[in-house]
Amino acid sequence: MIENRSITPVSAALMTSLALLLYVIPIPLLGQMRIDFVAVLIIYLGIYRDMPYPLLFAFGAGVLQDLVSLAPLGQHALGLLLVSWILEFFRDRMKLISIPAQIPAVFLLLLLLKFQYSWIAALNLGILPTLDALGSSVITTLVWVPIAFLINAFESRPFV
Amino acid sequence: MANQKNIFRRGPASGAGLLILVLVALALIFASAFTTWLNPVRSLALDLVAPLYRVTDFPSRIGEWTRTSFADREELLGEVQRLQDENLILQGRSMTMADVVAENVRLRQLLNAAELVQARVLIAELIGTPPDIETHRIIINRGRLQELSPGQPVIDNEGVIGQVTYVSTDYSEVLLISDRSSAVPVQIERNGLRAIAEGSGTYDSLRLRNVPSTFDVKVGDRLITSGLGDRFPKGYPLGEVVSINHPSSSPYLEVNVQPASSLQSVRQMLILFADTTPLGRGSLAE
Repeated sequence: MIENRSITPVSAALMTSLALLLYVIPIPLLGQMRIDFVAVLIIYLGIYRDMPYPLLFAFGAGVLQDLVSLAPLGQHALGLLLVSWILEFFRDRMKLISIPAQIPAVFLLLLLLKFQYSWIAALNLGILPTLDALGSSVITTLVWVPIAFLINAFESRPFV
Repeated sequence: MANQKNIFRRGPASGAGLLILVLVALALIFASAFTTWLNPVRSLALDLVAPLYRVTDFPSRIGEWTRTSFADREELLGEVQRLQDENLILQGRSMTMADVVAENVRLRQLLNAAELVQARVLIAELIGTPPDIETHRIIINRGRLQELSPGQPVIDNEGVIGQVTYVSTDYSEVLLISDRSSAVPVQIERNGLRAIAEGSGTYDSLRLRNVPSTFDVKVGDRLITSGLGDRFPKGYPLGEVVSINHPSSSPYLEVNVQPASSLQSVRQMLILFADTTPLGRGSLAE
């Protein structure tokens, strides 16, 4: 069980930078599909860490993700903001269950996120969403368990 | 006071903070979609993040370097021989073409027809691919400093790849022809019939839009750019028709086209400029 504690701004900034860097790295055989490390980080922090401004942090991380992925500005910001807000209501319940047991809930959150991204892309480019968004959510959900433990290990280091 | 403190904090009070941030996000989304106000921000972002894409492309560059460095000597010699042979054949063809072009120019002068022109080109290299599954875009290492502007066509040695959409100081974003928002005016090389080829969202397939069932198109027909729309110059290969279906419920044909270029593996490309030079004798050989 991961303990609940607060997070320093330096630690949050470092983890966001790392998540953004990992997000743009292409993965062999997956084509343009990427693991959404930023969404995983926001979900992890939303469940396990006390932050002074969680919504503002999610919004800021989203804007950075928009800039890094050269997506329409506001697309990721809105999605991560909504995920962070939803987690406000469920974080206490989610903390009671183990990380592997959280997989269905994480998948639903990621699916909501990708659904929203797809519709904003549709609004911007006049194209209809595809099932690729579903594939991306599945891949990101698969790494939820190892990533959640890794973030915890990274954040427990004394230098942050 | 307590409410002000809690505006972005956990709990019921975060509703006001949420509303403000949602409105800001929606304003950004609508500004991106319907105005050009945020284009400078996007250009700046392109300049800032392109080096990051270059870094993240490092593993594939290492793979390429390893393949070349540890390649068998015999294999490399074979490759050199193949390229020398290919070069010889192309030089031979170029000499014949130069003669044909010169004759064509003379005939056009006799007919007082418009002068034949060749486009100025610039070589560019792929930097990376944005992580967006809904669009097909690439980042290249040429920008405003090299006089690039949005709308310029991009080709490789096999055919049309796409067009420049955003330009920053040193980098540009190219929208590939396979993107679902892309449309290229084309014509069938065999009979000159015109159509619009649009992206299907997959790298190895394009579709012809609104093709009537009486349209003379066959599997194997080569498509070239028609030059209409003043975006893509006339005559560049776009792809080949691979299948034709006629749904019983529709008056239109479903024509699938395989792009001439390998859009997913392209690394080097040429950017065409609108300013052209008259094509004369010997210009092709140069």
